[in-house]
Amino acid sequence: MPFAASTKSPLTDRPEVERAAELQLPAGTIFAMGRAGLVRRTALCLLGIGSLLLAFVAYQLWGTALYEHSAQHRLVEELKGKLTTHGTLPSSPQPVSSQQDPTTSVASRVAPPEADPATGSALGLLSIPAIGITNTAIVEGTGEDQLEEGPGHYQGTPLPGEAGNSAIAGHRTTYGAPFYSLGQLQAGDAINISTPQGLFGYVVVNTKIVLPGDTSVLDPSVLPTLTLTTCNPRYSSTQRLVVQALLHTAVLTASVASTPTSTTPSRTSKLPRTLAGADTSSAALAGSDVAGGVLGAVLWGLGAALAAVAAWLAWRRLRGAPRLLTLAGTVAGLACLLQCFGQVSRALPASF
Amino acid sequence: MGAVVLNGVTTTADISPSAPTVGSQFNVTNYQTTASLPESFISDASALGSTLTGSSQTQLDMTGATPATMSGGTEDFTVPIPSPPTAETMTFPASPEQVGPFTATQSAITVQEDTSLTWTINISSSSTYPISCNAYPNMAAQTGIGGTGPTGNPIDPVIALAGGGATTTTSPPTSTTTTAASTTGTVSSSSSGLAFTGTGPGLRVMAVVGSILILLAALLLLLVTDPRRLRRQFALVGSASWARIRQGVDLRAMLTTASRHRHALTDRAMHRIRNAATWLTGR
Repeated sequence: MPFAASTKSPLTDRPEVERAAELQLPAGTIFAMGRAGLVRRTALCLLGIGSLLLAFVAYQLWGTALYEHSAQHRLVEELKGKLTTHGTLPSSPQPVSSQQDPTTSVASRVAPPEADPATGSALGLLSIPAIGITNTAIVEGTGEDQLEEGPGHYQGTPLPGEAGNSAIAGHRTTYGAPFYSLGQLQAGDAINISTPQGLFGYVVVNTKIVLPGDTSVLDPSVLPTLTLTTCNPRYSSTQRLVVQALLHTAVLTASVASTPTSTTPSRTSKLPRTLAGADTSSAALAGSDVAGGVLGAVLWGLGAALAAVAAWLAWRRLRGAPRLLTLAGTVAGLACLLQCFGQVSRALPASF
Repeated sequence: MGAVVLNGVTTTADISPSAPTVGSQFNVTNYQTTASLPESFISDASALGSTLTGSSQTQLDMTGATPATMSGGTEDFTVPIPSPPTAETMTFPASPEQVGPFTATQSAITVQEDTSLTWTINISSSSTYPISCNAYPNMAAQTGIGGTGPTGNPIDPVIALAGGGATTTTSPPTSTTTTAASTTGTVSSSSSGLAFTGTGPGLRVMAVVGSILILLAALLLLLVTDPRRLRRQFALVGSASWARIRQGVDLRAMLTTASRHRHALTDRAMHRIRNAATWLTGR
């Protein structure tokens, strides 16, 4: 090994300059080396900042799915005790099952209105076989916090399976993107929802694109309807994609089936609705916890920086020493960075 | 889905005989309703099958005759759903029917169709939806599904008058809106918009800025790094370890070590070092 690395700066290390002169190097060599070093450092800084920005974008698009999956696991666990076994509905609409009285209309088999569920609680499981959605938990509310956990039910609209227009919103590109392929649904596709009240099969009848302010798609309906909304086009929020489906099959649980049903919501709280969870005003779109998010982001960011420095020092100084330290530092740094990004997301408005 | 609004629904009827005398009997004949179904409605219905079937229950209200009301009967309708969906005309009953008999109590007789109609649409072979309908005197609301219903009060359109026996159509043509029986009309939303479920412009800007910064950094690195050196580094990557790269190309380390061991170096080695310094710094 003929040469050893030096960490001193060529600009400030005077003895090194003298040595260069002693070696009769071309005039300005040391200065040129220093200028090149400055440019290189600047480039590395830009590279780091750019990489961080792209890493945050990647986190938003794919990393947030980790949070959504974790929340889904919790919601499904929450539902386990509530859902009874009804069997399964077919992946494509079929005639009314033999369990039901075929002489009665579907409208008369809707579930009776239930008490308003708590915001953030699990409502049921959504399955859309045509686009690969299987048993995705639906959460009550369409606020930022609720939609990060899964498809959210617009508060104030009837619950799935009840009479009227039940509406559900879901992310299309972030937080697991449950409605990523919603645009591929076509008339006739089946949408199945399992709730504590029963198993409800809807058939898609309409797909359209509306402006974000067009809440007419949430208006009360004559027929038992399910309305799904998501942002459109993908990776944008300038429009909303709306899928409307009609109730086609209803298998009520025994306890629900024995109670009188109504073809229209009986509670005035459902009509008119307030859509509290759908409030997308500027205040509602602000970050869910700006102060806490900023503080958390700073702390986790410092942690990530410390871990990165530790990993770098281990790599540079502990040559021959166990590289496990470097690996551990890198992993710790990435974990801290992930947490930092999560906190930044909390601080940023949903419309960012 | 909101209200279903059909504009230009026309009901025709005749009184036969055309000028019944007081105490005589007469019938309402050629009783038939025609409705234009918009393409959007047909498109929605196409998911339910190749044919839209159902029935309509109507009631006639009489002035100047008894009985004062009489059921118009249950008229089935069948509308084939074209593919691709296009606007269709629905006529029910399929052929004009007769309702009666009535007994005239005065010479001036007015026949009105009661505003409360009941429709039943068959969604599948065994599933039906009851829909209550109301007639409105104007066509202010746009034809379609999901919009708001007409404003004002529903009416009982006049479909036939005694005297002359001429067919009378409602004038102007009525709008028919279908609403759930106990729904108190369409309500407006207090929400300012649908839920936000996508990515905002900030994320896109962030991606663009990040990409530009990385490209700029790459450009700067290329400017300060001689391409030949870069090629040499890449060549080394394929055949040796990163440690070998660090040992071989660190000019400062080379200068320091060369200075330290100057007396041990040959003139040829010093010449090579000077050449290397020259092309590495571009001078």
